[in-house]
Amino acid sequence: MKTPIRCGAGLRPAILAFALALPAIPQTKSTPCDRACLESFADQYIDALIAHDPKRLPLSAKLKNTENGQRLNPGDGFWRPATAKGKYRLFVDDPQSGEVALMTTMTEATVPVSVAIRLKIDNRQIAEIETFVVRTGLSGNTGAAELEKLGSPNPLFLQTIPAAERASRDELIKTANLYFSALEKNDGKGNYSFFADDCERLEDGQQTTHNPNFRTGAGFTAAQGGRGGRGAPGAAKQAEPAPAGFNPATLGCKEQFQSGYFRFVTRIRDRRFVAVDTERGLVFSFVFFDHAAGKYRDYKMADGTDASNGPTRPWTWELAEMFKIEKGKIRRVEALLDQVPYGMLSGWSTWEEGMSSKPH
Amino acid sequence: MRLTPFAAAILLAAALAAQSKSGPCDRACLEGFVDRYLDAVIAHDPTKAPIAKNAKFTENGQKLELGDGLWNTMDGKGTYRLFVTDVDAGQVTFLGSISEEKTPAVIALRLKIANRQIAEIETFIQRSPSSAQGFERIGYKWTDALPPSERMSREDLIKVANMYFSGMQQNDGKGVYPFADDCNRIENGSLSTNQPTPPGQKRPDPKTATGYSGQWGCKEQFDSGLLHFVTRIRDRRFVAVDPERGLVFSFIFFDHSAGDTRNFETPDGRKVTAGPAQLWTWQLAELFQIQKGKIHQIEAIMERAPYGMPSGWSDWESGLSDRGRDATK
Repeated sequence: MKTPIRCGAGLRPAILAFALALPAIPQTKSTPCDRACLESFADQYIDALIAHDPKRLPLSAKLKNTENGQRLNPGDGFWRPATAKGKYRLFVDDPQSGEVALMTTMTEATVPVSVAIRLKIDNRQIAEIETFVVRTGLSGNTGAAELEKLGSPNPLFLQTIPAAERASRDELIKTANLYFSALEKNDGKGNYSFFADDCERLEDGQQTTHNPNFRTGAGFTAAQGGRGGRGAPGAAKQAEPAPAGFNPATLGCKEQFQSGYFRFVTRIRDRRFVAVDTERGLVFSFVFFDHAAGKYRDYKMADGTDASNGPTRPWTWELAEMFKIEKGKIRRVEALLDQVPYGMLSGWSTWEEGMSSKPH
Repeated sequence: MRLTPFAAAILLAAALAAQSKSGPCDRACLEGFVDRYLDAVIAHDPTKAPIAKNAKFTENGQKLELGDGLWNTMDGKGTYRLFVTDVDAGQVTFLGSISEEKTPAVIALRLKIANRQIAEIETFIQRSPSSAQGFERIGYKWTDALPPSERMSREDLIKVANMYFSGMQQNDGKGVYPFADDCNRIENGSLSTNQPTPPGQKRPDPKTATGYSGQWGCKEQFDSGLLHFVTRIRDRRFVAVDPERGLVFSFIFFDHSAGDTRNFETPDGRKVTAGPAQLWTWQLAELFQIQKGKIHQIEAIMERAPYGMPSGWSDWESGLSDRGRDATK
């Protein structure tokens, strides 16, 4: 005897088959969006950007969209001048929270730009879009071309951590946050054992560890002209770094922090850990580095040497920063960064959260 | 009841005391607050200025704690000082050169004064030595009072200033542009109208040019329709008006949306592509000197800001709107 049909009794077999095929969509909607599903949303978003057409996307009715910290309507902003996607793509997929974050290369008009993107997927719809387009970066818009030259991220990022060695989501965030806490008002006296011995860092497409060719200028602010520099002639002259001849970029991750060089980074705030991939040991964050300048430029290195570094005016970097963490230690750091008005918020936090050094 | 002379004297003294604390703060009183504020910033000490307990403070559009931002870096005042003082609204605005870590810069400052205390602080610093030096060299001095019969109302002054923004936004050369024949504009310390034609060059002709020229006058620039690439002028806040001198001070943002918004037609039908190829927002303080309904002089400082950034004093809708508003109300 055939199993009775509960709903749709009396449907002819052909209609029944059709009826069974249709509900496949709602059923898929309620299942979790896995790695491939999440990354396909990122692809759809990038394709829609270069088609200048938000209507191509399954946008949630309650969508919130920000670009470089500013809330905009979809279709405005980068939607207009985005013209092409690049090869470089580094994903942090977080099926558990329905978030996907990535760093990639694109073209704005005819200019290469680096882009960090976060999407929140809810019920197979895009509920949140956070885009960060880096146009100047660390040294005058060379970063996107550098990333494109690399073509693909360091393979280490994509390696799966053996199941027995995987850290929890909370542990991964805790380790990533140790990086920010140690960098803020860095004095060289902390416990920096969270760095793996082979740790390297890529910032704005340039390796800023073990790299004597990276010129730090007055403290990782090589493009001191910043927005004013591009917009207005006669930007402030860069101060000479001190102690003379010390280039932190020649050192490794841990040695840089141990030197106490980065004391001029006065506040690392609005620390938002937005995607965690426990399978690969990846954490993706959006943060701001404030440099209050003034008296905060003068300090002593860990060895007691007098130092004077950092921007000579209030300076904020907006950053997307991601970490590869294995066995509780950071092996890779990769960041995209661009200067923004001092004290700017992300658009996703209250003012108190945005000004706080506490992760949230 | 008649007061004894003694009682009358007490009442008079009490009335004077009350006035000095809560009575209207006149031009000199308001402008005095600017120096008291800047001197406190130079001393890196907010307690040295009469700042109200819950005063709101922004710098370049961001809300900060008092003592942060420029409070750490300003080390001197410059020689350029221009006030737009709004006695009716209890607001004073200032455009002036300053020194920050021994480097010249320009500040646009707005203070709201209530009960002889600073209740709101809005600062916008344009960090360019050449701009500061330019204002010190060629900046306007707007201190003359207009004859009472020629003074315009607050509303009319704002209306004329707002026509400037409406005429520039998606400029098509067909609007009504309220410029006096002698109109000039200084942007970031440089003259951006009626510049002399460099030797050996020909003055660009608006009929054939594909980009607007600083060698043209105010009206010529707007009549050309070549400023079309300024897609949106938003968060138009008129923050101080001085009818006695015919002055208006505004904070606004110019969005350049790039992409297809760069392609447009001039009034005579020529197809042109112009404006920034990449997204671009200018944050500006823009000041107008207006007489008999016409704009004579304009001064502005502008610095690039993230596209779409609001002022910190508007809700999101007003921040993206191109409607002008008297922000003192």
